Amino acid sequence: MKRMKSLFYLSVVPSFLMMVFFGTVHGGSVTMQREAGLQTSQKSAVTKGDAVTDKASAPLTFSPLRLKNKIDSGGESADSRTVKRERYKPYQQGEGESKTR
Amino acid sequence: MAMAIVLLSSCGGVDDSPGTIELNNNSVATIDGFYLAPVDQISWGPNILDSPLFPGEYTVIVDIVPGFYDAKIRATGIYSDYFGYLYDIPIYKGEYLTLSVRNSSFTGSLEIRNSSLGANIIGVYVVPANAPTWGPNQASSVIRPSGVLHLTDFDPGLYDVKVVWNVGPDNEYYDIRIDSLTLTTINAD
Repeated sequence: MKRMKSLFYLSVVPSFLMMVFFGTVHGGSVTMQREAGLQTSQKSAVTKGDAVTDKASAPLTFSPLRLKNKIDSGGESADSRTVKRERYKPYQQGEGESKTR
Repeated sequence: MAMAIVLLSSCGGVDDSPGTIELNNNSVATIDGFYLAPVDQISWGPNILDSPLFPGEYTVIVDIVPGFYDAKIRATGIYSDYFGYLYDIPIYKGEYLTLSVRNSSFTGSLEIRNSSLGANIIGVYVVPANAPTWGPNQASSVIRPSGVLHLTDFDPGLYDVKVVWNVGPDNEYYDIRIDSLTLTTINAD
């Protein structure tokens, strides 16, 4: 019985501690919220078979890399938001004070 | 199928036989912004989507003057806004070009929350994890207790974050993951 108890504590206690500390960092905590299935279509989704088919090459695909600094023309964000959203200022090599990890 | 028409005349094509773009949304996000601008134009111009493009849908943009274009998409999610980019797209006369959007096409976002009881955040620095310096201050104003700085448009990857307080030592967070279509939140205290 004692062995059963110690086995229980050996398995449950470390996993509990892992759950508690997961996502915590010194001076705060970190969480991630992933978008998924934001909205469903009001109409049935169009299948690729319905599209014009005389295309020669594979489609070009968008990427998250911002390579140019084109200006937004306004009207991009909803004013009713409680939290103002700002664009990340991209890092330029060597900019700012030196970092030591 | 949503249909949008755009007439872009600033490209200066001699043969004006227009091209066509098909925008395919193969992601889980609803695209509510599509911007198409000649490569030499400094602004993105207006949103040319008439209505949101839901997952699995496509739209066709017709009457595009041949030339080279940059394109941007925007998805407004529950947690944040996300963007995707495509540069130097060649549109030839009479061409039908397909552009594809996947989940990995989008940027990610980062939120810094001031969870302290009485201190102000006066600086937020966010740089790729391998960067040797801290880069520019991302906070345009002081973040008071319970205040939030919400930053969008991150290329997915690992970042180091430094939070500078008006009192007490700085907080440094290393290897913070930012993913496509994801809001990462740091509760700093």
